[in-house]
Amino acid sequence: MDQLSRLGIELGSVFFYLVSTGVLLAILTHYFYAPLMKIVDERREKIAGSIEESNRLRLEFEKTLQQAKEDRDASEERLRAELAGLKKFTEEERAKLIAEMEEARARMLQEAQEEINQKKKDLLKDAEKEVMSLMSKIILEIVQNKVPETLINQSIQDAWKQYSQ
Amino acid sequence: MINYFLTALIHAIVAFLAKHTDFFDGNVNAREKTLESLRVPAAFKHYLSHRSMEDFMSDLSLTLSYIKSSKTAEIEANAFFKAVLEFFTGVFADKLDKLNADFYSFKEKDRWRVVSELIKGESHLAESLRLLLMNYTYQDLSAELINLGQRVVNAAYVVVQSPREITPKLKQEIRHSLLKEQPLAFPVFQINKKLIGGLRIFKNGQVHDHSWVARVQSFISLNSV
Repeated sequence: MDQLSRLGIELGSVFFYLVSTGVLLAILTHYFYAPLMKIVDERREKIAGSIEESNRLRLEFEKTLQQAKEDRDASEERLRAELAGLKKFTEEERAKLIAEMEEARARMLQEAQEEINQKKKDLLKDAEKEVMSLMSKIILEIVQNKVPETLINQSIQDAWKQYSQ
Repeated sequence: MINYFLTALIHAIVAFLAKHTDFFDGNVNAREKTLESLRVPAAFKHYLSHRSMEDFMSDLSLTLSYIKSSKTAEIEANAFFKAVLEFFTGVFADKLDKLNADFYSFKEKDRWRVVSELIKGESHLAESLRLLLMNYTYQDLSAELINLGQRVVNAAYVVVQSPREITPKLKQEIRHSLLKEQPLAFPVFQINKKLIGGLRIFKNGQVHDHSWVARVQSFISLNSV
């Protein structure tokens, strides 16, 4: 013990030191360490909760993403099918239109040809009429002005004989 | 137009009947013998020889109504007016046909001369006929006689067209022939130079075309087929 005293270590001081340290530790533990640990525990719990929540959200998000992807794929497929159908319809309509145009063209050509033929006929008929009219004028001119009176008078008698028969 | 003629005719007949009061008592032969002294056209003598006194009196009354107002008198199928028509479409028409187209351009005294040669006699009846020829044109007389014919017997409307004036002889031939087909009709003769030659006859809407212009048209239309 003397040795300890020579070193300056006194048992009473050590005891007092230990007691005060203990009291300090108790006070610190009660007023500082315990709340702090509580806070830390709460924080740890909170963080664990958040991590769990975020995991749950991540899973949910992944699920939603997957669903959206599937929906998108389905829509794409549907659109592709509709596009193919539209193309087919367009092609058919185009073919129909072309056929109708061809038919109309052929009909117009035929009508034009018929009109031309008719015009030709009418022109010929007019020309014939003119010739006939000219013939008529010439014949009438001859019979009106060049036939002797005696012949005309005789014609009256002959016409009466013809009527009487 | 024919009122003066009818008046003169009735006057002559009544004067005759006054002298022969028992005329209607005789038979047809006896009457015909008695009628030899009456100077009226044959058609009227035939009428008188076949008509009873009552019918004659009725006809007389009708004729007087006609003279008074020709438009309202009901002369349809009347025997006296048939005799009038027979005279005008027969004997009178023959006289009318002898007048050529130039007649109407003569001076009055020349026309009197022609008419006096056509219709001889001093009676009122003859005078009335001469006045008809003097005072009315061929067209006026034709229209009147056609109208009378249609009223009395619904006579056919007949027109004969020729390019030149037809000779009186041929006119007579044509008229008599047409009268056989259409009794009591008054065929009208017209000049239509456009016919060129031949004849065209219209009969109640039907055309018998024997003209040269019709032949020319026919020839041309055949060639255009």
